[in-house]
Amino acid sequence: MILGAAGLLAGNAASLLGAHAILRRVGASTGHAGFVAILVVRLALISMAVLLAGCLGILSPLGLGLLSLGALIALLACGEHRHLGALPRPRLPWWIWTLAILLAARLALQVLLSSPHVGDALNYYLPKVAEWVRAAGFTREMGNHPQAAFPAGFELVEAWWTVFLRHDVLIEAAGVEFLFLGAAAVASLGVSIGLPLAWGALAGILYALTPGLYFSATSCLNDAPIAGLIVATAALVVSGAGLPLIALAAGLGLGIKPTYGYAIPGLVLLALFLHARASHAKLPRWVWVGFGSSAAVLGLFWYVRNVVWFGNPFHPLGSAGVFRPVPIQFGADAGSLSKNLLALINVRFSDQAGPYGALVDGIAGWGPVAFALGPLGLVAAWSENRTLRLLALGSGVSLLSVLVLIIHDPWCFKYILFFPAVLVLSAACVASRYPVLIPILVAAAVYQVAGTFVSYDLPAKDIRTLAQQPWSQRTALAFSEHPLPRTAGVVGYFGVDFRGSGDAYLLYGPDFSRRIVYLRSSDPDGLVREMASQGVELLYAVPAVDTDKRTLKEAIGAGKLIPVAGRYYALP
Amino acid sequence: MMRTATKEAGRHEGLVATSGSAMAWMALPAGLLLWRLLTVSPARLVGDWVVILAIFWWVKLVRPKLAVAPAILLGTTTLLLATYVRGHFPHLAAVWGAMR
Repeated sequence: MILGAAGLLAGNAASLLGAHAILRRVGASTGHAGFVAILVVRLALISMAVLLAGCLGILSPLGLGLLSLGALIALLACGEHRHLGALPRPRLPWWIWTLAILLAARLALQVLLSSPHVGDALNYYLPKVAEWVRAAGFTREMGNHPQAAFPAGFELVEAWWTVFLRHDVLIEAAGVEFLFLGAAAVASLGVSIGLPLAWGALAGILYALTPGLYFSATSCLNDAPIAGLIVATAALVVSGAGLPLIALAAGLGLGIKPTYGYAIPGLVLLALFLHARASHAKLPRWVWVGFGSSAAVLGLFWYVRNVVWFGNPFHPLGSAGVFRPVPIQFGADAGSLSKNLLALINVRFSDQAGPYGALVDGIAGWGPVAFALGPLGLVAAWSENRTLRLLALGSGVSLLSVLVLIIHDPWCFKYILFFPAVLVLSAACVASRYPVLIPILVAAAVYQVAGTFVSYDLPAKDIRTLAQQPWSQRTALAFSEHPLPRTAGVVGYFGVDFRGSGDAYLLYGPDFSRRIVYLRSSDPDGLVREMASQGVELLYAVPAVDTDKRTLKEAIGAGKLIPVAGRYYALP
Repeated sequence: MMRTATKEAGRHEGLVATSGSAMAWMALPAGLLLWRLLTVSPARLVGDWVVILAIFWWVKLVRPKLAVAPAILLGTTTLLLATYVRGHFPHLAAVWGAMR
């Protein structure tokens, strides 16, 4: 574990130093978006490292540790650390630093005490990470859920925070990285629209405190990373960072989730508005080749894999009947736009339909700063601030293009968590100009701080349970509706839980010590045979479709399976 | 365009501007107000954020000097924050209440 922690430290140091070295040599003019650029390149570096290690079968503490150590030694030997002194140090007032440090400390605590608990992550994001860690490389096995084949760019970053320790205690740090990216991007945009640095930084902090974004980031969901990358792309565009760097951010986004692509029209429009400021024409050829190929690999890897494995880059989207229990829209639909827009304006923007949570059930999750000061600030600043106006137009187009492409359901606004950025910036803009509004801004910010301690999907009693566990055994399986009834080294997983209440990932254990066998037989004899041949000691069954329900019922009826407790069964 | 509108409005000492672009900008908040009046129930109308925003927008266009008056900004944002808190606080209280 100590060696693993050392590897993680070396890896993080190498990726940060490497990102700084690359950007120093590129010489791209990123201006005040320099920190955003470093974070984007770092995320690209660690994604590429995990991608490479996964493909080569060295995704282990030793493999990734040696890779990290080698990179760190090479960077230090080249004297890259001597250039760190040239990094700009933002001159911020003490209260901004205090607020930022307190919130960072709270985030660190939330990362340490939390355990993956949201259904989407447990059922189809994280089982992949668990399989990769166990196999020390990428596997064909991804779990039983059809959506497991979706792009896994965020899982690469989650694997980074998991592989070194071979433990998931820090897994939420992956989402927090993107939360920092979003905050840095908003701060950079703030300076771009003419706000003083302190106000820009405050806007960044307020954006990070957007309740839906905050809880998404700390719950292993990939919607906060997408929002962070969309805002980061906008910040890079506005700062004139150049096409290669922007393409890298886009590659990261597309590799995480296609919903990044849904927002591209607005980003393109923003780039067209501001094209004269781009500096990419001056960049050397190796930058175009290096950044372009990295962006292509990061953005296309999973789609190409799906073409090779399933013959469809978007597998299983487009397959008839697959998504009957949980429909996903495939293509544009004007009806969705209308329903989504009306729901946003009439109900969800005010967050009155429910508590804050990672999936923003029935709400927008944008918080009171965006609500009370955002639209008003935008109207007030519209005629006076060209950059904010263009940013708002670009974000508005992105908002509409996302809303036309997503189905209307209670959780659909998790895909538009990038939009509060422009509202928070507008709020900062109007409050900085009219100090009489500062008390209102403070009151709204305090409400958001209070609202982001606990979400409804990880209530205080569950956090207390997690805190009482030793960190090495910390798992949300302890308060699952279906806790493990007894110790078992090999657990079979049968069926698909479309409603998100399955515990697939948690069954591996926080240290990935338990082997999970995904069973796919469609008849009772085959199921039992498979269990016996794989040495399955316990069966966890979540039959959702009729064939699975029938198979399980017949196996129990014939005495071939004995119910143990809840969803668990055993062979006689 | 809005600058034209506010200039026009200012020139007419607060009277509604008459230029084409000014009229177009006036039409937006007016349209929003009309839409809400026709679609939102009277009970919800007072706390409706679109109505509050449209009125602010309208005032800013028609009375540009008044629109930036701190009292109007403070009043509008206070109303919007109160609307938000009134609707969401029961949920926050429930989540915090569950902590005890």
